[in-house]
Amino acid sequence: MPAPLLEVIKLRKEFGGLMAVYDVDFAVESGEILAIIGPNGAGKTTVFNLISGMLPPTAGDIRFDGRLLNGLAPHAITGLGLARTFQNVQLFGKMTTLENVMVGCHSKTHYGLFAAALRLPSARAEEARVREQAMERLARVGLEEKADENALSLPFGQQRLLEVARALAAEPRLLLLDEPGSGLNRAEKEELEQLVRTIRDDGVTVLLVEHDMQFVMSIADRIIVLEYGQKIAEGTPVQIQSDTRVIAAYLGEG
Amino acid sequence: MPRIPRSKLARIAAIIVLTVAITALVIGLGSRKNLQPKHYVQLILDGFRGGSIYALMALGYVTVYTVTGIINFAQGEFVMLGALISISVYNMPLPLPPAARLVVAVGSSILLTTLIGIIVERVAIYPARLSPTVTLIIITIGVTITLRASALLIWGADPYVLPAFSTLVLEDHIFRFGGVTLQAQSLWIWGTLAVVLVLLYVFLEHTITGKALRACAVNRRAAQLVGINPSRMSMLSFGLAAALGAIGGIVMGPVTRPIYDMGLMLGLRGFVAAILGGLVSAPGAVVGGLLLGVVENIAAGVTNPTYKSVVAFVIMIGILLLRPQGIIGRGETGGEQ
Amino acid sequence: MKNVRAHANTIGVITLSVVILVLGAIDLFRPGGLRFSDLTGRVVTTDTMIRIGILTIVVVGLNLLMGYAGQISLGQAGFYALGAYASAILTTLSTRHGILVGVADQWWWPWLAIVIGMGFTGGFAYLVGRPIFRLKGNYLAMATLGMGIIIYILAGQFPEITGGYDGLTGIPRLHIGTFKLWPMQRYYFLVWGAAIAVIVLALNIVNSRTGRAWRAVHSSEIAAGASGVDIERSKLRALVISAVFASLAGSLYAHFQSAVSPNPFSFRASVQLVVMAAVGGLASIWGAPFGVAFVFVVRDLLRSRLEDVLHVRGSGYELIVYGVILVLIMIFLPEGLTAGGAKLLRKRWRSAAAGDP
Repeated sequence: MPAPLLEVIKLRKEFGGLMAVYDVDFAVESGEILAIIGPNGAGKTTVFNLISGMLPPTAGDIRFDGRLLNGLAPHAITGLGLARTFQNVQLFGKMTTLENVMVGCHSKTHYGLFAAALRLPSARAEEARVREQAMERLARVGLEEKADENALSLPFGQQRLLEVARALAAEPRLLLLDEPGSGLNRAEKEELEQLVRTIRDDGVTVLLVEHDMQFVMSIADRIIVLEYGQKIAEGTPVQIQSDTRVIAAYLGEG
Repeated sequence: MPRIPRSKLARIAAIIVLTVAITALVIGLGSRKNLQPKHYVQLILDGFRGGSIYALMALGYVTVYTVTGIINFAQGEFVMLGALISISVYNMPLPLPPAARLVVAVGSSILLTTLIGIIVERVAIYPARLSPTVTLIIITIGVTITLRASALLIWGADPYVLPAFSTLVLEDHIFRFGGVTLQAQSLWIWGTLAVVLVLLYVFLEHTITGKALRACAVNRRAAQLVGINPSRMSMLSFGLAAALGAIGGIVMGPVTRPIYDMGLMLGLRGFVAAILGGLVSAPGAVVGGLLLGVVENIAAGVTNPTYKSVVAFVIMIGILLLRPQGIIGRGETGGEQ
Repeated sequence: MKNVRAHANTIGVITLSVVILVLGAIDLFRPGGLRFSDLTGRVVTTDTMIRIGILTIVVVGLNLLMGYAGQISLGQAGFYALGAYASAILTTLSTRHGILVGVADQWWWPWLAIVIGMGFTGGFAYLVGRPIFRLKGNYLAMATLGMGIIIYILAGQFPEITGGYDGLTGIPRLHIGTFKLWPMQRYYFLVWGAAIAVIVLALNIVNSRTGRAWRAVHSSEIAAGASGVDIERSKLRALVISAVFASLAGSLYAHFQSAVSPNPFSFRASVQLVVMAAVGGLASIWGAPFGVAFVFVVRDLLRSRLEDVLHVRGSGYELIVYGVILVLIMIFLPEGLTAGGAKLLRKRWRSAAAGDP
């Protein structure tokens, strides 16, 4: 059996005495869609922030493709092939849709300041390539028509898609989607589900945090359940649906 | 016995080595100028006097910063206004004995400066409160320029002087013991600082408004949710900062020569004091102010008075580079979102 | 329409170059005895134009730093001073200290000195910025402020090296081979050539991956980091570029005045530079020359006219006007007089058009 793409070992995060994440272990296998679910405040987004380097872990290891990610800056982690989106969409205002995606290509471009300042052929060639790739990513999520519009002028559902396109621009091997469905209507969610599947089919592994049970059950290959910062269950959607602790956790919340 | 981690031991060792090195440097430089222990005592004493003013100013920075998130460049101008307004009022031909005139001067100066602080906040800061930090900083610079230039027009470019509080003439009481001198005004300054601290403590801990202000400093959004009006708190913080500045300016009036452009250098030192204390802590601001006063006075004493202001900025850059959380602050330096 | 927009920068550069050439040619050839300053009622002279050109170079750098990377420098006059003093010290080595005689007298030496100054200043900015940008928040403002004041004070010390408060004199004019870039009417072309070059470089950078990264960082640091942008490095780049530009301008200033002293590099100068950048528009390269020119003209007008009207020495009023302008622009036209003003007019015009029956 091949080594997992992402391995999280005894991950722990403490906020002023409060354990937001407590000794969580899990692994993401190459090519799967893994979902993390759990009641509000279970530590799902914190896990994401720890993996993507937004927060330093208190203890524990995060390995991506065998490499230790602890202590790396977010941009370095993205450079290794791990891109993410945000629960509350974080787009660059005052920039067009296309430019947003072009920023996503940052770690894949290299021309230096001199080349940029003097518009050397190398810079122009790379710029043209970036533009083309960004357009491609936009087309992927169906936003190619909106390339020249201000990113924040898009309707919310499209802003989410734009964020996915931007993350894809970094050519990730693992894509982290933080509550991709929140704020979307049923039709938009179905569209999103389709998109996530094709992304996976193109060889990108997907790890997502989600609230909407119906959405998770239909899209995920495997599910991890967190409660109060601890992992309480792991398995296929069918297994999770019949797990008594999970049911208790969700009933307790509702 | 508690186990001390090695990194902590290393840090303690580094601090000890550094302290010894600096002490040796100071004594070495001092011996070249033939400084004796009494001279050092004098330098330290005078340093505490200047430091008290920095402490008052640092409190102003901390108040505004914690409540609004703005570094108010105009803080030094409040000091200038406090000093010059009190002098002008004192010199008005009121039919009162000098002591009463001084009281009137002090009171009206604090009131007027506070009012100016509130006007500044309402006119310049509040309308732009949602702007990026860059914009807000530039606005406070604009306010600084405006206030200073207005002062130049009103008071001209000459220095003024306020009589010493104890004697009500320019000549102050001077206590001497063992070759060390102490002006009575220094006692007024320390006394004022102590009273201000007590009043501030009572205000923040035991009044509703004070508590609201503190809540706002801890978490602006949460404060708003429990019904605290952030607009009022922002205004209040500027008023309070202006009052603190004015008090500093007034008590130092007799020992310096207040002039329209004193605000910049003083304000910057007050800021250095504030970041020495971590920028968010009132006790830190006081310690930072006193420390800065002493350090800069000793440094200037053993070298050359022109380096006095350089010392403050060297400390500032050193702190920003090495310990941005302040010397007595602890914890993370904004690593969290 | 889209075509015009795509080439707006090229058109702008050409227009600016033509205007500069025509204005310069008037003073060089004096057709019919006409001088450039006659056209402006003596308010703007060649001397003023050169100063505007020099400061445009600094303000373009500040624009990149403040408008794009979102970091504020209150010590830009310090970088400007480093350039000026680098040129002043290096080009007077042989006359003052008898060092490098035979080398420091060559025509190319001052040019090399300019480059050395830029390298030194850039390196210095790097050293200041590296630790600062590890912190969140706007600590750069404070650090640069302290740095600027330290440079200003130190420039007035060490008379052996910097000439103390009197400064250094006898800085040679620039030559290309034996062609002397002086009188002023010739120097004008050098300064504006450099200013236009800096504008072009800045425009190119802004429209590259670096410029995009700056705007991204300014807009959301979290998302920029997650998109693979190295935030610290990106800010550091902006600071170093702005310092290098300031240094270049400082060198040009030194050769223009033929003398340097600490005075023009005070905190007040740094503030004035920020005012110029703010007036021109923080995120607008094109705003830079307008911001500089605006401040110059307003200042000169205030100085001369206020005295006539109010019979007072103008410097106090002049400063109040600065302060008030700064506050008003930041509140009402945060994009600057040029961009913000244009936007405001467009809105007016549109609402007026819409209101028409």
